[in-house]
Amino acid sequence: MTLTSALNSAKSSLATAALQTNVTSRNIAGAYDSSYSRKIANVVTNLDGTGYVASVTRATNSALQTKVWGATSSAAASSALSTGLDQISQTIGKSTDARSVSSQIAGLNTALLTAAASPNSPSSLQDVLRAAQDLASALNDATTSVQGIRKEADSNMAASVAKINDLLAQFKSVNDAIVRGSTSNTDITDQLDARDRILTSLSQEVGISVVVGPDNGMSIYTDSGVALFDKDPRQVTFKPTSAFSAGTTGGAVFIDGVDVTSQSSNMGIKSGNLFGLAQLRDDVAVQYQKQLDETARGLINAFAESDQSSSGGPTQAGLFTWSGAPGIPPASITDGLAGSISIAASVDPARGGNLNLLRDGGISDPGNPDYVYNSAGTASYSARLQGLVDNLSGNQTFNSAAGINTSGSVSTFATSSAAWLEGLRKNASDKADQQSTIRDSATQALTSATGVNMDDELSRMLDIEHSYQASAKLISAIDQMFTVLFQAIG
Amino acid sequence: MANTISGLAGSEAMRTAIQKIQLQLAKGQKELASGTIADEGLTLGSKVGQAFSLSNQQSQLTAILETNKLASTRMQALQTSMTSIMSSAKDFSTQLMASRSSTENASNIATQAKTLLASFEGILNTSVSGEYIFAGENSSVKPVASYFSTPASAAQQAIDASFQATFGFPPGDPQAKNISQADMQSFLDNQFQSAFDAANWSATTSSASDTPIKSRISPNESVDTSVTANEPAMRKLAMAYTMVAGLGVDQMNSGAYQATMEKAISMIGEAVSDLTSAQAKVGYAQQRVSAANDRMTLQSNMLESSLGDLVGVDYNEVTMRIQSLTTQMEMAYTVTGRIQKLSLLNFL
Repeated sequence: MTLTSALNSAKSSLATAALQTNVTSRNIAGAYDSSYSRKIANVVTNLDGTGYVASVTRATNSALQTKVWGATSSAAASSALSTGLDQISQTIGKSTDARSVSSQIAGLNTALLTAAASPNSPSSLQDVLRAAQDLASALNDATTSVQGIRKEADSNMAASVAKINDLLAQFKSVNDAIVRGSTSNTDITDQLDARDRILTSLSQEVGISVVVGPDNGMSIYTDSGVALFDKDPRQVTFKPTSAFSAGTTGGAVFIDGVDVTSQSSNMGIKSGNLFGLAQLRDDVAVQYQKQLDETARGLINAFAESDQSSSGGPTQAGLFTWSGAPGIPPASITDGLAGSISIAASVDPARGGNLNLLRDGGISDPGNPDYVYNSAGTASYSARLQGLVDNLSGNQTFNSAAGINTSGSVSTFATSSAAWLEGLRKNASDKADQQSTIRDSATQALTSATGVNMDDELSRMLDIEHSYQASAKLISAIDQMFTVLFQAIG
Repeated sequence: MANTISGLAGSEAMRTAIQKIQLQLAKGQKELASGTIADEGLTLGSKVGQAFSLSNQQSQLTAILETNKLASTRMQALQTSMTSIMSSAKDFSTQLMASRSSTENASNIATQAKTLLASFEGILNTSVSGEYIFAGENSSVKPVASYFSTPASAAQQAIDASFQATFGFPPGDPQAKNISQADMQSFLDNQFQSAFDAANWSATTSSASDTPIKSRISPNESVDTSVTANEPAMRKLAMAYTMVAGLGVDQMNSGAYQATMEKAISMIGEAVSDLTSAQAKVGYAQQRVSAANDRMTLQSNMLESSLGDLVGVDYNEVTMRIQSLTTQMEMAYTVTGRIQKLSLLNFL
């Protein structure tokens, strides 16, 4: 061992310490960046005893990382659905406030009962009219908001698709840099972090699975197995729909030409924001709209007027009417009926109608005596009003496509519809809570494993400082020894 | 390295914990203020249908309880009116019995009958809050027309004409003293009586509807809650008053006079018994309304308590919850502060 080789060792130690300091300060800088993973300087000792930093790697845990992505996708899907359902449930409100269609039907029932007890009182008939108008506008408003929610989901899907395309383009450049860096053996840890960050964003939008190649290049597939990225990004396309009404079918999202959001598609994605939005737009909101339409049909039926003479005329729409009046709607689901249901003008004094037709009948065809129930025209005739109360609670048949009970009164139907929606909402919300808890704990576990501990880094810094001090001391000692040697020689 | 925890993970954990507690606190405060659970749909899920149907049923019961008050008022008025009709009819019948054999009181009795007829018509035309209670369904029209009016009422014209046709002179004519008891009896039993049968009564005097008012007194129960002016009792009583007041009894001989009195007494007797059964019918309806009210009040209370069980909150529980959440929150803040200080940086 010569003094020179000791000097070399000390010098290499200084160089290593400088590199280690660099890594530690990078770690400290990234301590509070959630996508930053702790960097590790791998020190190797040469055969001659000198040390050097052979490579910089990062703390990683691919199992946890995959779990985080999966949980992020599931949480995003349930959260998108749950948010949409929260919005739809605004049309329902509480059982004690009169916002929902179900409560409005109860309100109309109450008004009818009061009017039946004093049919000669214009104010009680006016109350019936007002309650009926409130009910019709509750159905109209519910339709508007459900279709508005579908439109919003559609726009969000477009935004999501744009984001996916953007992320895939970013992914391409980062992935290429990683492949290049791997072959030239340079420090690619920051690029790897960036790539993970992009994937986390991507998993927010759509469920993914990844495959890493031998050159560290990565391919991305959706959770249904459609390739999103393989050497190059695949085109994700979506055509937004400009306006939604009941019965409008929204466009599907295509990845590389494969339909991934239609319910009929066998390559349909199963998680991610995009999935939740598609579910909201194409399934839940559509189903709820059908229930609203059937409620509207039930109401038109309950208030329909039959021919009171023996001439066998058809049953006609009464107080509640629709675009296809004077007939009543067919038993099949009429899309958007809840949006077009309205109060007959012939009974509304504000539009030149006669309020007494509520009591007497003949709303459907004023002037035609065949549809008048109160043929004597007496002021306290209550049989028609009583009949309407009975009709409201009477059994009707509802279309099974609405997905809830097919038989029952219109008021039970409306209540079941509210129950159906709130049931879904509770499920979605519970699931969203659960999934976000899983995501949070997976993220927590991942950041615990790969993140930076300040104390750890600081104590490491002390170590480096000490080793630097020692090496510097060593160099000055060797220097003194050389000086002494040279003086002795000199 | 598996045993270290990154700084970010530590502070993130605290942050999410605080966020959750804050959400819970906001929910608790909302519940405390409203007395009901903060978000029915989210808490009850599909059971929300139950809450809706309970609340809907309750509003129906409240409405019926309210309308039953109307029916009760009407029936109370009916009972009072019928009682007063009956008592004056009974008094009059007593008087008729006392003076049936002698004509000396005849003009006095006729005047009294005229007054009683007018007051009887007045009672039948009683209205309660704009509704004629004896009019049946046709409640907006005054049910009976006054018999003695100028010009003469349709009923009076018809009776005068049939009197003239039978005897050859109008009622009150001095020739009436020649009418025999048998002729008078036959006139009263046939021509006169038929003027008060249902069809003629409706044609000349009454515009009441035969259909009584039907009220729904509970969700599945309806009863007739009115008596109309077309009831036999009313027609018989009108007939009795009219024959004494309008046939000129003061001009009759004692035979014809007696025949009229006998007929009037028997008609009043029948009317009183018919009125009693009408009163009993209304009384029965009243009783059913009150029974239905009791039942529905009970049911409504039950519904309210079930609804309370479903959507109400226990104030004690909520207060306790808020208290423990507040404590938890304070602890979280303290711990965060402590951890912040606990860095190697502060000790180097």
